[in-house]
Amino acid sequence: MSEMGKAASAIAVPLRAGGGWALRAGGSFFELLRTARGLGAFFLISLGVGVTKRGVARGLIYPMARREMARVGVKLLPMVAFMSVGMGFLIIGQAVSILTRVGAQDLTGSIMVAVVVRELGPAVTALLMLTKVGTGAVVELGTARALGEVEALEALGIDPVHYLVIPRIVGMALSNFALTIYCILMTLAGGYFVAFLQNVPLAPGVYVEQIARSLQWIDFVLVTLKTLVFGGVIAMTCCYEGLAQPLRLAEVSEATTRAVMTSVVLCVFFDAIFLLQMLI
Amino acid sequence: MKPSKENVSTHGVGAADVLVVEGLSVVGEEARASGGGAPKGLNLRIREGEFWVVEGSSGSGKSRLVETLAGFSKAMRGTVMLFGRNTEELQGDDWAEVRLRMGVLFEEGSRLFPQMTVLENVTLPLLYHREFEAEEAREHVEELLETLELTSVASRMAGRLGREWKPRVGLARALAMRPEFLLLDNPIANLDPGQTRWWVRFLSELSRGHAWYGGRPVTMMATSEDASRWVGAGARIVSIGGGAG
Repeated sequence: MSEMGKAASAIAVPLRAGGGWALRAGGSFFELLRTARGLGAFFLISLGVGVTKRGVARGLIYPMARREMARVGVKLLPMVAFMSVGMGFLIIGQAVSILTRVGAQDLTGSIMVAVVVRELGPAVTALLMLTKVGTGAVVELGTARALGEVEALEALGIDPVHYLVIPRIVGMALSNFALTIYCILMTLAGGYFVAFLQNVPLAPGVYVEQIARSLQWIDFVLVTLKTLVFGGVIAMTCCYEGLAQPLRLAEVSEATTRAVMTSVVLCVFFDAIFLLQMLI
Repeated sequence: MKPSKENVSTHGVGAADVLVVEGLSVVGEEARASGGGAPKGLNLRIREGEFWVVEGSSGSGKSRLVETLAGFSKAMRGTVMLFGRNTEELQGDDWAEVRLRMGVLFEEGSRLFPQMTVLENVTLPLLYHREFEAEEAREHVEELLETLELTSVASRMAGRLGREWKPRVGLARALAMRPEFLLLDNPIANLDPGQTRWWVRFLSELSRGHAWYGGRPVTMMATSEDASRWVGAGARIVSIGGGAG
């Protein structure tokens, strides 16, 4: 080993021993910045392609977006139904029951709206979308990239972002919205069913009326925006991780993990922004 | 018979130049690892209607050369002019425009879309660029599929095709838009003599003028490990030297 190499090792050893966490934290921070920059660029490229090519190959791209919506919706609906009824049973049912016992049943509607409509519905649906559809998209696109199919598209003069990304973003964003509505309705219904089984003295008409009274116009806007943003962010992140960088087949699983982590962080980030908007 | 020559220089002014390569250096992966040969300082001029075969052994950088000419890899040095445009200066949609004028056949399974049928693979560029309906696109490529003897496998998934069919489907996909220039990466690699004869005959017909092109000769460049297999194709041959193997 050269003198310079020995000196470098002498410095590196204490750094690894004492400052390992600092190095890891620093590395993670720069990795986060790199991902944010890459995602930002990918978002702008996708937006540019979506706008400039909105009239190109409509006969191919629009049906693809519709198929993506149908595929995602049909694929996820049973799982969303199961989770919604489960949430209704486990969380909402108990909440309704407890509120009634302490005589605070008037608050049922407000709590339902705050918990289910604003938070739980969009969050759970987005999480299901990410785990079942988003990860699939990373694998599909990552494999396509690794096997050179993306270059084959380019060789045919087909823009891969237009062909592979735009239909997924549109399909996943709209499906997420539709699935969230199903999720909210099924959770509220499931919750009431449990309350009914527990002999809670709450008539269905009163339950629905309380929820309707608690809902404000901003809730409809918020749910729409939130679900479209969550779906779009998940689609964008998964497409980015699958497509944006050349992958070897062995790296596809790693890219999938990255996509899941980044999507969760981004969804929580945007959720916080929506919450702040509500509070201001 | 084999007019093999290294670094062919064919300078001169010509309005019908399709591809002009000057001082191009690319390095193939295997060649880089082993220090083997690769196209260095390659000069090549392909004019309209010409058919060239670029010969080089395994690892000599043939695929990298095709990728560079098609704009998927950066050249280390030199310039590539496609249809009179310097590829270094092409951006996004400019590349798409140029690529519409050329068809690329990749090596190793031709990079077909495995989740699509053969017919879907071939009609995809028509659906995208010409906005054909599926049925209209199918009718449009019927003659092409017949010519390439692919009618019997048209409804099969591309991912399940045998090795001998994949390059043919790749060729059909590349020909669907009737490009002016065909860039073929080792199309007859690993094919049996019967298949090789078919390819040599068909590309020779394309080069002379095929009915699919209304009798117009197609400009082509193919790479190959063994130029002797192209005897009878009417191709000019250039060697880019030995590789790793």
